[in-house]
Amino acid sequence: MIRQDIIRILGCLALLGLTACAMTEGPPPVLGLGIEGKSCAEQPMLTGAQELVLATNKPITVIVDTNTPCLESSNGLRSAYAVFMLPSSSGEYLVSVTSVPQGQTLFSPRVMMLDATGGVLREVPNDIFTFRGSSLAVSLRVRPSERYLLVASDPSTVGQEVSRIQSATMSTVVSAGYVYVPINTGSEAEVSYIYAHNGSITVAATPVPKTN
Amino acid sequence: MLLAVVLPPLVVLAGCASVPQIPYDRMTAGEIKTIGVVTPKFPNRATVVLATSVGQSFGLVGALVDAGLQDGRDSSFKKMVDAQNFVAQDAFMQRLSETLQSHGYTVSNISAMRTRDGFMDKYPTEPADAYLDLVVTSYGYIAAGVSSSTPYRPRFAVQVRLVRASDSSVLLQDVVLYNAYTPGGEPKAITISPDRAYEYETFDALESSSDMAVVGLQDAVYKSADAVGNLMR
Repeated sequence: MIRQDIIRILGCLALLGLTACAMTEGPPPVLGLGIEGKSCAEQPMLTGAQELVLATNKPITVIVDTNTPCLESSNGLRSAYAVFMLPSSSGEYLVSVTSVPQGQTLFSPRVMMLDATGGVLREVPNDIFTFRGSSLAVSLRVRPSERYLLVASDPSTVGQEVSRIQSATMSTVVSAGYVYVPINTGSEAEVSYIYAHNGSITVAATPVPKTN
Repeated sequence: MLLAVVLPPLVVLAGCASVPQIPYDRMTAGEIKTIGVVTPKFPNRATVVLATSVGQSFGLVGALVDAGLQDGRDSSFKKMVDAQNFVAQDAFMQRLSETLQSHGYTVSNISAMRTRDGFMDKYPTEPADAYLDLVVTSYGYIAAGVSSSTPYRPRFAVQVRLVRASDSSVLLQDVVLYNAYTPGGEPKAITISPDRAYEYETFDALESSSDMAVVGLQDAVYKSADAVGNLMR
């Protein structure tokens, strides 16, 4: 009976693990925003900003696609963008932006911190983002006058391809009678991503972690 | 009857767990012009790890066999490294110093005796605006398994903490992993993908290309040092 329970639990874990590890199908990368008839604003619209909550577990995930609002710079470069309202806090806190791959498509992010009127206080270029696992991410300390976070696609890197080697180990438990033997195996894969105007971004506002 | 159950990937060589990320903000950090790099915690020697092996299936006996094989690989790799006068710690410190200087900092090396595995709990009172505390948890080579599709590749793992000298505030904390092995899930650390130029199907192949293998380790050390330095730009 206990043995059956163990096997059942292991089976459930296996299902969860494989689901998490599966390479999901994603949308094709959008490499241009020159869609006929679509106009892009010169300034971001703050009225549609999503409100971030300062908490350890309240992230907001946004799917960016061709329906997402876009910005057009003075030199004609277009970017898809999303705006978030930062929480009011008397204390220091962090905001993180994570671009999560959807299949081969990886939103190419850049970030601007805006004041209450939408004025740009600082820009965080694409090259500040680093890979954390398969995602591109950045974390920032929010400064007192910053009220909005704007995440936009970076047209200068859209279309570029990046390859990464990912390794994994698996453990297979083999049962023979009442003896269980773990069989460990390793695997490796090279994954390629294409930086795009579309994709999935997750934004969170969190307290500064305590240190020992 | 044999019944196989596939488990989720296991965390095999985490080594860098539980270091919450705290980003550095140069503008609000105060006047940080001089960084004192405290003598880092560094492993005694490089390791050449086979992350999964047959021995892992055979309990204590298997573990002992694996330990023997591991020691043999480590000793052999140490001879290769020594033969080329490559000292990973010196290379790391030199490269990091150059990177920090390129970002406008004055860098000094601060000698310290480390009595624990993690970050220091108290820093020497030597002149610096901030102390950079580095804990290298592993470096060397690693292969995910024994098949030809899981070659040995260089690896380097370092925990980073920058502490303001005036009030001991933690200005920065992060982890950098070159060739990350965190199969239990997505690592939260900065992960640098290994360079395909330095991969060896077997340890014998690695040994027979000792010059290149050491260059591969140096590449991992340099890229990790750059990533650490760039956290403070």
